[in-house]
Amino acid sequence: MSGSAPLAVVAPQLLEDALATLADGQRWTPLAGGTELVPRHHAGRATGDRILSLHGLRPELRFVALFGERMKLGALATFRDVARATAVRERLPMLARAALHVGSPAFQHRATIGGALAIAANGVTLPVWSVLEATVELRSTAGFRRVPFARFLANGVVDRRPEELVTAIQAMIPPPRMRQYFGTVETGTKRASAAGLIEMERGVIKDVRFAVGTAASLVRATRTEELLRGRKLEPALVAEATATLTDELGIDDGTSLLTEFLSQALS
Amino acid sequence: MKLSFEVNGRAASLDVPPMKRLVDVLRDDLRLTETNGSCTDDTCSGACLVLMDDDLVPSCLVPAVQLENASIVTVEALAKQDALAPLRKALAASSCPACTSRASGILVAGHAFTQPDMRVPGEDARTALAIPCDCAGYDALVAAMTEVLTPRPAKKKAKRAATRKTAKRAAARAPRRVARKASKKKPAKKKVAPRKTAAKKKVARKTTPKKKVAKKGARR
Repeated sequence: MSGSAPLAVVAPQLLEDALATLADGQRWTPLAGGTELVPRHHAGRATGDRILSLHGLRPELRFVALFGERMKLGALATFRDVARATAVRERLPMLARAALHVGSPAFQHRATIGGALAIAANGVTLPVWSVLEATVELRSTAGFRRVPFARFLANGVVDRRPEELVTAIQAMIPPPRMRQYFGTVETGTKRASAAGLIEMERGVIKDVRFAVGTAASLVRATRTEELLRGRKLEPALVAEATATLTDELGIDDGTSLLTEFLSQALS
Repeated sequence: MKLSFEVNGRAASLDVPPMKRLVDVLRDDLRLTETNGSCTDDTCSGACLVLMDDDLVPSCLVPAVQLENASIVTVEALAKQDALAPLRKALAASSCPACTSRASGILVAGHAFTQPDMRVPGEDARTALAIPCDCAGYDALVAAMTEVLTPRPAKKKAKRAATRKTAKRAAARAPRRVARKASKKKPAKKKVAPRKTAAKKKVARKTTPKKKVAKKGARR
């Protein structure tokens, strides 16, 4: 246990105090639900020697709110909060379902949306943010930034400056005509989570979005989307799209991923 | 770091390292050793579950710094609940080391899942048990958890019986109350009417006869 190492831990009760701490030029490691940091610290692995506990900011940052056709989640909302929220279950069932796949119920009570985003952990929900084209909100003493999710997490690198804190994420609520999908599928040795949106019109795919995440990576299947968009859904197209998806994801066989998506979303 | 929080309804004030895990605080500093600390650095065994501000949480993931003003409930405060009897029985009968080692977590989860708003629609006993096991006794555990989570007809019967008993007792007491009321009329009136009204009535009763007497006297 590394409890004996010299360590500075602060626990502000206000967001502005937390941001002031981050702006002091020292390198602080934010601590939200502790699902990553606490085990790492206990094992004696590097966690930095300055820890900023965000637990006291829950009154400001733990919320699930609906703004017109957008859903806004505070960074300290837990996955359990998300799974339980009626607004999420009714309007974004794919997100509620994904939240329930993040570990055990007890783990879901600790793991936070913002914490998972800030370290790109819990890959389960990342495909959902990708297809919903979410926007991540970051704050610092200098101001406020809204970053599209695709840019926030590009090539596995998180776009967060040391003095910034992830404070919220906003996602669009798809219109009812778009069918939502979330599922987990075994792809060879890896377990992947997949999220998708699809809109059909007279047997033709009017719009489609599909993303796949594993513990190590997140891929938005844009080539497969382009191939499917505007075409009639028939076996030959599915076979062609499967080959494209397999190539795009770099996996052995994408059949189960695509067939699960299409069958579940269109059932 | 000095911390003040509540454990099983009692206030606790401790000076502990800020990153010390709650499970270690409970076991080392508060001697609440029923919460199992068998979690490894990479995996939570599910044995360390506690309630923190009514949320079911793994205490191996909670750092001491986040305990300030928190309310913690451990298995010590919950294990003897009648509602958890089926789980206790199934755990006592189990010979699986993996399942019995996380008995404390299973009992806390069993309690948590019976609380309002804890369960998400569609979640069942297996969700509450969280970690599946291949042992022969696992099905019995699932059945016991299902029993805990489902209101049993026996419980309803017991409730009805209890209600009947209460009603009978009330009926038996009723004549005594009437007798008491009869002997002490004034306190009985006080119970029925709000204080101010009763006081006004008393004043009215007291003043009216006096006036009449005075009038009578005046006439004479």
